[in-house]
Amino acid sequence: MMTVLRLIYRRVPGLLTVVPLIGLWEIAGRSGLFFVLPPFSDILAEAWKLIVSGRIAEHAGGTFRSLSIGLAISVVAGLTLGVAMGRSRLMEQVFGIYVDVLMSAPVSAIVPILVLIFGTGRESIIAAVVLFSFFVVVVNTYTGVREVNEELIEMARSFGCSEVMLLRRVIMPGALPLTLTGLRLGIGRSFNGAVFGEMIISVVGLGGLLLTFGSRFQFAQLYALVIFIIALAVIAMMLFERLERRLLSGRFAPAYDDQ
Amino acid sequence: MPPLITIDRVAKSYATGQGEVHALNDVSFEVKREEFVSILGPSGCGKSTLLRIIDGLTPFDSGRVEIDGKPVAGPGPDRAMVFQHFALLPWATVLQNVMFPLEIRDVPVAEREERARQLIVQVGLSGFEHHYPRTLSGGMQQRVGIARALVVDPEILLMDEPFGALDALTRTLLQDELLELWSRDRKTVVFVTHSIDEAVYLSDRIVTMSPRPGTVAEVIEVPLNRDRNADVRDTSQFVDAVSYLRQSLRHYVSVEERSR
Repeated sequence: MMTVLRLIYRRVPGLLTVVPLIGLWEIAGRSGLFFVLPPFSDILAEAWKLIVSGRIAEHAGGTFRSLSIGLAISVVAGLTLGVAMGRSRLMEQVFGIYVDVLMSAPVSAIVPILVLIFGTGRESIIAAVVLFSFFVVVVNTYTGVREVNEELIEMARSFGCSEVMLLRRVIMPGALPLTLTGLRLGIGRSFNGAVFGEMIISVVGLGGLLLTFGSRFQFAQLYALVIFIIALAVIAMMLFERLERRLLSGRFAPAYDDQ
Repeated sequence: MPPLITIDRVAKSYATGQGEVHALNDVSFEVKREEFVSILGPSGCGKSTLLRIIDGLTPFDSGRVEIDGKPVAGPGPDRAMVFQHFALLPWATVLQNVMFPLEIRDVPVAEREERARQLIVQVGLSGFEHHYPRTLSGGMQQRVGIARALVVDPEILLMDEPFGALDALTRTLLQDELLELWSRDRKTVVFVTHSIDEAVYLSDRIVTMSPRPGTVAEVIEVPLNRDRNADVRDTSQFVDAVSYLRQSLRHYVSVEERSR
């Protein structure tokens, strides 16, 4: 909890600009001119109700299960494929084209196809999470591996280094900064995939709840939930960024200052 | 005594975007045990490629490369290389960098550290064991590079323009330190450089190379006794050797520049 508070504290100047914005929102909402925009205080009240009633927790459980399973698959498979593509010409040629296309394709267009393959259950939502987060992990890991200083690889080879040792002691530490960036982006995208999947595939979890509020014109609840989901994703990425900085500082910082 | 390193009619070409480039053609020379030989030539003469061929890092097209009568098939424990840009692991400390080759060779941990610490003392870096490369000057970084090569106690030390990235003062300092280390424990050294002064100061013999395709132009014996210090630079033998080499290399460089 302390870490979260400290992270928020560091953003105080940024957060201060939010205050007048919220003030405007409150005034606009109270004016009653915009029927889609309830006052911000109503939203906070609804958010509180959603939390204490356990309604959010009830829906968030499923979302988190899909998200964490999907993210775990993306991370393990993405790191493996990224390293393989970075180290092997053949792997690069075989998978490069798919990764390039799917990295920049609007993957949301593919989500309906997932239903055809995996049905309307949790498997499809997990697949959506993977679809959203996998490629960014692959591409960053691959780029990180490819950009490891060639002279270091040559040095290790000249001392008779095996491929396994080379990976462990030269390639992976060298590719670490970009790999971590890929993982952080992957975390963000996995939220995207989970919520989108739940909205499109089977109206469950937080995504399903969003749809429910939207279709019933419960705007205050809808905004409360949107803010809640965004906050979760941002906090997850901020925590990871902190871990990232810790991994790259100290032992690693001197190395990366000039890269 | 048979030569320790035999290079016989070695040729090597690369495929590049603009077609095939003949990097080396008909390169032959020998290096005796405990000899200090420099390969001297302008950039593009293939001298670094040749060094990598001796190390077994780079394959070659034809000819023969033998160490102690055995053909080179890849890197081996009898050789260690010092790199132009130091090639230190930036995320590892001085001690970890020097221990790295021993880790590759599965030397027991306690012995790794003991040997690495000895070498760090020998190259004058005691007290810097736990520093990261980035916090060290270029000269200190290359001392780490030299310690890392010597820690495996190779028979042959291959040095690829090791002082090329250093300023002039640090460069002469490291040349003297290298001579000092070398006189203590005579390794066979193959030293690639484009500095005539450096080649004459350090070597027993100098192999000069001309570019495109890289080939041996001349092999000269340095007419100085082995017991050298900075004063040797003022002797007429040193000055004569330097000016002779400058004359002959000038020809290749000007041919090279004109062809551009």
